[in-house]
Amino acid sequence: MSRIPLYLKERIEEVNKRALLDSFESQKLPRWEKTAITWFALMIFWMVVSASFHWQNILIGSIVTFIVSLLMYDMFTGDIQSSGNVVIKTLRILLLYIPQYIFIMAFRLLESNLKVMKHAIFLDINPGIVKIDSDLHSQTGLTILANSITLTPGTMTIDTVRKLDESKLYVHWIDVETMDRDKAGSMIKGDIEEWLKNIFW
Amino acid sequence: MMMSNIVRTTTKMVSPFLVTYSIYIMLYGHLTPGGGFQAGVILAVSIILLMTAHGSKNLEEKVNETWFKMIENIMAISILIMVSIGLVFGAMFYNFLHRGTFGLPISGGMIPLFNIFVGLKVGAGFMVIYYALLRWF
Amino acid sequence: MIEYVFLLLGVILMITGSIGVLRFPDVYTRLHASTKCDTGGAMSILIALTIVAEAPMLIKVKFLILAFLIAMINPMIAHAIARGAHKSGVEPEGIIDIYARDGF
Repeated sequence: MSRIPLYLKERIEEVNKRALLDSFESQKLPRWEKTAITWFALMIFWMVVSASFHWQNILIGSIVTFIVSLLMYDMFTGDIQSSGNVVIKTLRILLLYIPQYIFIMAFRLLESNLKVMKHAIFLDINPGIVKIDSDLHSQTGLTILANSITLTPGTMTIDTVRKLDESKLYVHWIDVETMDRDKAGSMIKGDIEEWLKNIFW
Repeated sequence: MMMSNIVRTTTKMVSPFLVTYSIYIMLYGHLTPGGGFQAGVILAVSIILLMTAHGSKNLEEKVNETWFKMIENIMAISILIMVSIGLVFGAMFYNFLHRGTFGLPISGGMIPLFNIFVGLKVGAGFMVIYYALLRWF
Repeated sequence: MIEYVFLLLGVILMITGSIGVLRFPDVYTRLHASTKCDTGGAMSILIALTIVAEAPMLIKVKFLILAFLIAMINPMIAHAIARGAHKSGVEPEGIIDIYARDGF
């Protein structure tokens, strides 16, 4: 059975791709959980914007944000991994992961500003565009990774390529230190990718 | 040519917040700066942002030009009806509803209703203008 | 006291960003300077304003919404400009260009 005919080979590849797509689809959240998470986020936004705790304000806000979340439930929760209870998951995202991310990114942003300052004064640059791999497979995760790479020192994302089983990022590096793909990936991404894998698939 | 992945996903993530903010400006028009017109502009911009990022052909099933025309006309008619009900109580534009206490969201008689109608009408009108410019090419 | 530190940091970052835009050789390296220094400078000025403002806590948080939107949208715009420049044929200076070699 080592020899497979050509027409069968194409077919097997297609079936493999379908199975992979189905496994990704099964990791998504059900619809009401997406709506609930969207409602919660929009309600926090409404309370911050309107800045009052009167009961009329809370009533109007919950009705309005519920209607908006029914219409736009898929906008930013479409790629969140489904695991465990939805309440625990939301609280964990809100209280643990987001402060952790803000804490990481604040110091990386300060470091990147100081690095640009150094480059602008001494002009010791060595630019180039390199390619790195990523283990994230969802659009939202890849986008947040790319935006974080743009804000970390010395790197800027130019394009992302997302296929089913592999995703690549093209990164403009202001001071190229290595051409090797794995080493460059671990230097550029740091611990942000590990953090993003907790939430997105 | 299609926009890249990053632009499409970021506009998708920002647009629910923009819609919520426009509704806040619409409903609080009688208490804080803003009002119906500004809320309608923000509402239209949040849809135009999605349409320019994703391509107007891909969104044809979800947003439709006829709906916007319908919403604009219905809102114009309802503003006229609401304004002319005041004739029964004395004059046009007469504030015939219960005014409530100052500073609360549900107060001011018919001003919040007026803001809602104007906001929806302006948003739908901007969308109709956008479609007309889109058909130019 | 600490608000003056944040304000001064923001102003210095903005000035270095403009110096970088003037001194760097091509589009991509200039985008580095403008994006990072704009984001960092604007956010530190916003933090200073949050501390200074004489308002209740709930109103101060509104500044953080601006910071959130800036941090969200600024990198996206830098990426869009860089990709558009590369698509319209601006050659990057430097030692390696894998993006052009892969045929985009």
